[in-house]
Order: sequence, then structure tokens, then C-alpha cells
Amino acid sequence: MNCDKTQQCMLYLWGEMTAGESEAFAEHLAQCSVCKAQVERLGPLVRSMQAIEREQLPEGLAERIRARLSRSRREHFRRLWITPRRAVAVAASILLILGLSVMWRLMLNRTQQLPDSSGGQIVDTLTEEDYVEALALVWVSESESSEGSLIDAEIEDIGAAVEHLLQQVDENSVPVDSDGQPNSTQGWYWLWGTNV
Amino acid sequence: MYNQVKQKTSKPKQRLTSCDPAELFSQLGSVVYGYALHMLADPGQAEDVLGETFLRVCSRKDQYRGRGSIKSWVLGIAHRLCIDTFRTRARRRNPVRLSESLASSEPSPVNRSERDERNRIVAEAIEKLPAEQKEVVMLKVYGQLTFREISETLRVPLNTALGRMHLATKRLALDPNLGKIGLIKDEL
Repeated sequence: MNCDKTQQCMLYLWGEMTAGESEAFAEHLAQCSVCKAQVERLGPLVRSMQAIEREQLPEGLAERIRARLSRSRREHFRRLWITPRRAVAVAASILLILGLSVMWRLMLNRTQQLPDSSGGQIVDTLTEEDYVEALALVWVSESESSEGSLIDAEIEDIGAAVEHLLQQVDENSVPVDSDGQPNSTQGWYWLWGTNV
Repeated sequence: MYNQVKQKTSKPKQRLTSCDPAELFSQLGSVVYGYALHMLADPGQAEDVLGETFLRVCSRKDQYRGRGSIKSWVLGIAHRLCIDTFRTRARRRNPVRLSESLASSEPSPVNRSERDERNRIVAEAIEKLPAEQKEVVMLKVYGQLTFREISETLRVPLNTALGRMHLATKRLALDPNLGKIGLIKDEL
């Protein structure tokens, strides 16, 4: 003879039923001889298993494990902070900052040196792009002293300013080549007030 | 009698909510150790499993999704570590039996007590169970899990866990040693 509720005996014996479920199962037991026999036969064994006491940790083991846990937590946090990806990112940031500061320093030095171009040494190292930039600076500084009106005009476009300056250069007889074309190199030097 | 059983078994259960490894260790350390000790029958290996379990709890606490109870999650880690230890041991062909382990341990006044003798006989009887039934009984008796938690730990349906426990208990009831110490009533 079988009953499909015999597995429920385990929940009942181990006290894992709700009050309502337990009451309903007790009613079932009163009517089902199979389940009743199971509960009566297995009950003492289950109680004896329930009575088995929790194993005590050997002396000193808890302290050892706690020490390991604490060490591991510290290492875990260290690992969390210094990952290879983070290390690369930090190194890249430092390099970028260093690079930018060096570039800034160089630019600062150059702008300080350009107006004071007393010899050809600095000029020799400059590119044409640098000349344009320097021209604009010279023009602005000169116009501040002699042609205040230009400053007042607030010309924002540096290209237009250079064009304006070149026109002035043309008017003041820019050095020319043998074929009558303006000698650009000499012209630049002339602009800088240096001897070629 | 049924009411007696109910009263005896319905102890107030403490629900674990914190995932802090140190706190979990305080509450579950002895349960995990007891489970590992009876599963592996080797105090040294049980100690290793205990330590490793809580180290994993420490490193994987973010992985706990709260689907089951924290207790079943922790015991699940311990259970899998015990299985790994069994496999390693099988490869080394160096099995240790609980009875041998207990016999080799230093006898103490507590070990000699009647209660401990009874526990030892029950432990030996459990050890003889088939593996699937044994792990359910171990988790129930030494891991102190509910059947729902056992089903979560072993990732089996609740009825499967109940069925295995029922079969195991019936098998234990046939053990003559348990009959000798009065744990089994004569068949009705």
C-alpha cells in the first residue's frame, strides 16, 4: 500500500511545515495508516539526528581562519586598486601631463624669444608657419606703439592681419630678386630688422 | 506524539541577512566545519575546506544574488569544495573513513560519553548511505539546512531532496546498529 504524501512525512518530522500545513497533515495521518506508520517508525531516528550537536571548532582554528580572512580582504582591496589596466592608465596620464607641460614650456620660451630676434640663429630654426605667427606678434606689438588705430580695429583674423602687414611691406619697398619679384627670405629678414 | 515531534523540531531559526564574511564565519563556521568533517572524515581537510569556503565567500560575495538563503549559498560552496576534495583523494587513492578517523583521534572524556557514542554510530550509519542520499542527510544533519535550502544547495527540486531524505531515513531505520541503541522502533 502506498500514499503519495509519504514524502511530506519528512517535512512534518523535521518541523518544516507551517501551522496550517502541519494541522492538515495531522488530519491526514489520522486517516492514512501508511504515513502514520512512517511517522511512528522514523520519528525517533529523526529526533536522534536532530539531537546531534553542532560540531565545535578545534581550539585556535577560528582565530587562524579569521586571520586568513583579514589578510585576504586586505589583498583583495589592494588587487582592486592596482590592476594592470589602471596602472597603464595612470602611467599614460602622467606622461600626458608631462608632455603637455614640456610643450607649454617650449611655446612659452619661443614666444618670449621671437620679438628679440637680434641674430639669425633663432630665425634659422624657424619654419614658415612660425614666421607667420611671429609676424603677427611683431605687427601687434609695433602697432601698439605707432599705429594704435589698428589695435582699436580689433582685427581678429590673424590671416587678415598678416595680409595687411604684407601690404605695408610692399609699400615700403620690400627687397626684390633680380627678376623683380619680392625676395621672400630677405623680406622676412627685413621685416625682422636683421641683416642678411 | 506528533505534537511532541513538532514542538521539538520547531526551533526559532535565525535568518542570515549579512554577507559580511567575518560575520558569516561567526554564525556558520562550526556548521561548515561539522559538515566538512563528516563529509570528508578528515579534520585536516575539513579545516582546509572551512578556510577556503570563507575565502571564497570573501572574494565572491558580490556574486550572491539573493535567490536562495545565504546559508545555502555558503554550504553550497563548502559542498562543492568537499566534492573537489573527494575527487583529489580518489586520484591519490587515499580514502579515509570516518570510523578510522575517529578511532585514531585522541580519546577524550567527551568522546567517551554515551551521547557521543550514539552520534558516532549514527555518523557511521550515514556514511554507508548511497552518495546522493548521504549528501542530503549530511546537509540536513550537519549543515542544518532546511529541505528548501538543501534543494537550492544541490540544485535539485524540493521533492527530489525530500524523496532522497525519505529513502535515506528508511534505509537508516534498517541499520542493525541503530536498532541496538534504541533509535529504531520495531516494525509495526
